Amino acid sequence: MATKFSCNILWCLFMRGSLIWRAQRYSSLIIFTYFIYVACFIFSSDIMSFDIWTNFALSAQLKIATSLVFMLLLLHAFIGLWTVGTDYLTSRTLGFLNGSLGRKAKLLRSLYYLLFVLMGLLYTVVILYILWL
Amino acid sequence: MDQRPVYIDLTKIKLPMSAFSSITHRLSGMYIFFITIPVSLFIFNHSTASEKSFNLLVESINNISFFSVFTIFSFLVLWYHILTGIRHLFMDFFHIGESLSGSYYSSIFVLILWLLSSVAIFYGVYS
Repeated sequence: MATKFSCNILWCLFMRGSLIWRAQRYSSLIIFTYFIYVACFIFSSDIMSFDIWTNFALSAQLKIATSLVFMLLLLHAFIGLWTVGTDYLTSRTLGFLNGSLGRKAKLLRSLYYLLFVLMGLLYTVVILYILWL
Repeated sequence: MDQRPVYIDLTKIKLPMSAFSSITHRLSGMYIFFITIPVSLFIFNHSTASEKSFNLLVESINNISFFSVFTIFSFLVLWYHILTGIRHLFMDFFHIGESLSGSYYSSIFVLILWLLSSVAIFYGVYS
């Protein structure tokens, strides 16, 4: 009972629909700004050499920015992928295709969540390794 | 009173242009997470590892090959996601283009803009 109650508090704090909706929209604006900044650098330089590129991409400022924006990107992606899962991997939508598939919807949806969270963690380890080690 | 159709065959319903835009935004999002992100991690790793791997990478992207087309296409999918995303943000934040005709024309506009810029980018890289 106590754990259920504390779970509900966490649920109310972080899994509020309006908060998630805003988090996805506003994070997209920050990610977009970052992409524009990097794209402007790549397309504005006439000659792109290894030195020019690494001086830019591996500068302390951009390493910090890339790490932070990658976290926002994961947040943005997790919300989007979760929305797609709750929309299409349901007993109603899967059952429309196949009855026995529809009965396994909850399991399939959980496996799908597990897959993208693990992929996200793997990406994080890889990008932090490339940037900082 | 209840005049709604009981049996709906989804395969017989034509997908509206705005729904096409919405579903491809979601599909491109899936593609980006599972394909474009690993591709860009690979490219970022090779472009910063050494001068030799940087030059090899630039050369292999500039010449037509499966790797080159696949890489450019993956980034163009991201570009499409950004364009349709901006379209959605206009609707979410400013309520611009929410009408039936507005969403139809903005979808067409975004699709044509993406196709033209894709052709331009392929032409720019390979010529």
